[in-house]
Amino acid sequence: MRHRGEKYKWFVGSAAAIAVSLVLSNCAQPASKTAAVSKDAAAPSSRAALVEPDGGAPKHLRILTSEQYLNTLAYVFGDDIRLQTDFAPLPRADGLLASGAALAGFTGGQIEQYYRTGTAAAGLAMDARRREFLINCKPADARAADRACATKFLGVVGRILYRGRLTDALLTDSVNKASEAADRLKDFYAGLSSALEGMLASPAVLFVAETSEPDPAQPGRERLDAYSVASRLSLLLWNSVPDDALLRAGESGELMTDKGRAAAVDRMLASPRLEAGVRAFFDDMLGFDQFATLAKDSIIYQSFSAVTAQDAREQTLRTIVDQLLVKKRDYRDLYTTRETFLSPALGAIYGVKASGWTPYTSPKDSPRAGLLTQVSFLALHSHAGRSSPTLRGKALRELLMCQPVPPPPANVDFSALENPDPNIKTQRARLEIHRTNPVCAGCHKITDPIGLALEHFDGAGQYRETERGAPIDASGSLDNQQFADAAELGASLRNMPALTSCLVKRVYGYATGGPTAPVDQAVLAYFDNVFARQGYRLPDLLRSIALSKSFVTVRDVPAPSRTASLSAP
Amino acid sequence: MKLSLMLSPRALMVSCVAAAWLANAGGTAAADSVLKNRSIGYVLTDEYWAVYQTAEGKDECPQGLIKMGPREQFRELFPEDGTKRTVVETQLMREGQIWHPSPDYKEQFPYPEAGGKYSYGVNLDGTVGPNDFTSPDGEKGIKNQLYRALGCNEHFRGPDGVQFALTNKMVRIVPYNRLLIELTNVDDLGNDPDVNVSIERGLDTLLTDGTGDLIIPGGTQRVDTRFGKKYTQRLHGKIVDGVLMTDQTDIRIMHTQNDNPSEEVYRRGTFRLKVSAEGAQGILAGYNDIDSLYYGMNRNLGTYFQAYGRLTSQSLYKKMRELADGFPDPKTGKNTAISSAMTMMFKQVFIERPGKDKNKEATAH
Repeated sequence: MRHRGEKYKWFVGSAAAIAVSLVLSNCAQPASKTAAVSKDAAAPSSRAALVEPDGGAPKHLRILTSEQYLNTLAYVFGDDIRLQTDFAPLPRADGLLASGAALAGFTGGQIEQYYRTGTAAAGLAMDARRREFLINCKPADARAADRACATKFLGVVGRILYRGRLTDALLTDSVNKASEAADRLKDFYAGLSSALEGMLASPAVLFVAETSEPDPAQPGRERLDAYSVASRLSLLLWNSVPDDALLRAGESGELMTDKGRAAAVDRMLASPRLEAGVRAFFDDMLGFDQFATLAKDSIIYQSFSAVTAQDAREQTLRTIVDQLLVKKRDYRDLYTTRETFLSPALGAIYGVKASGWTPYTSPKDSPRAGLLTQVSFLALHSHAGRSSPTLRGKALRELLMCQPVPPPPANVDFSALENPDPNIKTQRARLEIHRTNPVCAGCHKITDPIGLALEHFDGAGQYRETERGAPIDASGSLDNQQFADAAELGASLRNMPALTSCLVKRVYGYATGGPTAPVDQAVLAYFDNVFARQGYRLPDLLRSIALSKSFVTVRDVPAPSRTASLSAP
Repeated sequence: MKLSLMLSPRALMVSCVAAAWLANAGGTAAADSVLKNRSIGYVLTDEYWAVYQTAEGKDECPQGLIKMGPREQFRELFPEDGTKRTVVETQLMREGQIWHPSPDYKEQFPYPEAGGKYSYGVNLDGTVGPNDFTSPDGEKGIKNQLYRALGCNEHFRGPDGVQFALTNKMVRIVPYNRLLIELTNVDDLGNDPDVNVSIERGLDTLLTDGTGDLIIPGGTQRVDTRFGKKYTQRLHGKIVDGVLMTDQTDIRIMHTQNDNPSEEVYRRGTFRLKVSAEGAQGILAGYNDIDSLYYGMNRNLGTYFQAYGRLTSQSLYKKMRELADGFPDPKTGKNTAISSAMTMMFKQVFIERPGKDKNKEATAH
């Protein structure tokens, strides 16, 4: 126990040092964009340069997300080491939790959580059932320390966990700890487990600290070093740490050449692990972390259970992977496609048979078309017992068009909504209160006409013709485009420049590991143009960004500002 | 033909919740939207012997419920009076009587029958006799002699009887008990003179609401063909005023509790089910072969469980033999089967058969 206690103190000390660096690093973050809704958020691609402008991103110090940490464990130790753990939620910045990871603080409670997870993972990895194939050597005596074997194993594992930055000193320190523990416990594997715990909870493993070097192609400027480039690539494309081949490409210098980076990126894009990366990005962008707390009134929505919620999230992610990666379709088609997948729980919502996950194409006359009519969007942006055109409209603006909607004024009177006239049957009629109150109307006019188009779907995402006996009028408008129903809303959204420019902005922020800034406008406009010329194919966009100058170039951070907002856009 | 809807307290609660849901749903589940290709499927969710119950059995069991179960009888037969007895002479002798029952078994303890005017069931032969019941809806000639045999036994009475509660529980949680019925050639769920009914076995767990307790319509069940054609049965029937009535034929139902499968055969069996877009409920009636019924009961729940409901198997066997009213043995002339009725509740499901196109639905929302 004393041994573990000492390690814990060492960990706390290191983490505290890193945390201080983190705070200082983020003092330099640019101020977030204002909360005003702006149609200009969708910069017309015609204004963009055809040549990549000077750009770049700050070096970030970001913490691994739960999923990235677990993916790393799975990569190193095998898929069967899947721990049920959720680290503390990250703040959302510039629309992404991944960007919030570069702003996150670190508490004592979190340290304990990482430590516990690392301990559990190390214990599982050194389990008698796994050690035979996970450990690449056999100790001379299983009841004593074996420095040679410990060095061999920890050297290989540590290289991946530290993303290439395992120094001789760090390795020696880990081997010393393994040997000391093995001698005390008279168990080589227990000693190895102890050293592994230390690695898994090491701040150098938990935090991705980007470092740079002078850029020979741009005198006077800095570029990320090879290990930082490797980490950015693997977190972007695989939502995990670099594999051995990527680290080797970094170590050889190949990754820092255009040709070498292209080869590495193409290999990663062709890997089945790309799916994990794309899923993680859209899970983040679509705010699916909210599923963790989604609950519906089971009296009103009997068909909606925790399984439905889980499957709704999965349905959308499956649809995205199928459309964008498998079929390589236009990103905009996600909002009009009738192709999706159904589970038994979703079959009950859709009113069709579905045993296991089943490909499903809704008929042409079906009201369901595109992601907006999937249960994930409809149920996530509704109340527990009723639909919400306002929440749906707000979500569409903020998540898909990058147009922040301001929060309601502090003194707004909700009584008319909370206790509505019982003679009012529909949400449209109820929301009339907003449109006639000047205090509310300003914002509601940019959300409600969108959300009302989805009113044929109740708060659980089930189709309905009427609401409390009154027929539903699903007509509406989106930035002067009129539509009659949800399918037409999807078609209107598909043609909005803001839809694609928002994706570009989110992918760029996600790729560079932090919030975008006003100074990125030119680069974002350039990628807008590139994306359009690529026919809005996501893998092509990922490739373009990953191979761009901006991806590796370090942008000087302007004067420190503490006005950065951590709230949702 | 009338049908009484037998509702347990749980079923009543389910129905109330369902009604509330429908009121809120704004017409999400209209019958027409569930009839696809003129068919509709259902999965069994509840199953228990149809026992007409009044409070504390006042009407049907005026002499009171059965008090002498296995433990009580054992104490009377073998009092702790200092007499030396062997296990063979006592426990094993009693167990032997259970597993090798004899119509000549001398019943030493009172085993009151359920009586009264009313019972659930079906007039299986179109006659009205002195031993028949009247249904709560007023239909005469109801054949349900099994009700007489088990109606005054707590074991079979709801909601707390062990057989009552455990059978239902096992129907819900054990996929082996998954029973599907599918109505095809349906033009109108309200009235249709000519419908086909297939009975199948299902594979999947039941779809529940957020509480995990309430089974909801709209799930999907794959047909389990592993048990052969014997358990894929084709019936013919009609729907009258929303009640499905199938032509009488032998109907086989498989069932298991505690991993002991058994088969129930309803000879000249018939379904009487009130059908709707959300589910179906009613009874399966017929003549049960006494020996197979009896062995199934004992295999599913042994003396340990039966003792809680004061059910002594050999007493029940004796009573069933006395009350047997169908299928006489050609040699002895004694009846081998007893008229019965099983309450059944179903929820609507989509039924998927192996090899069929999974994605053929055309009216999804």
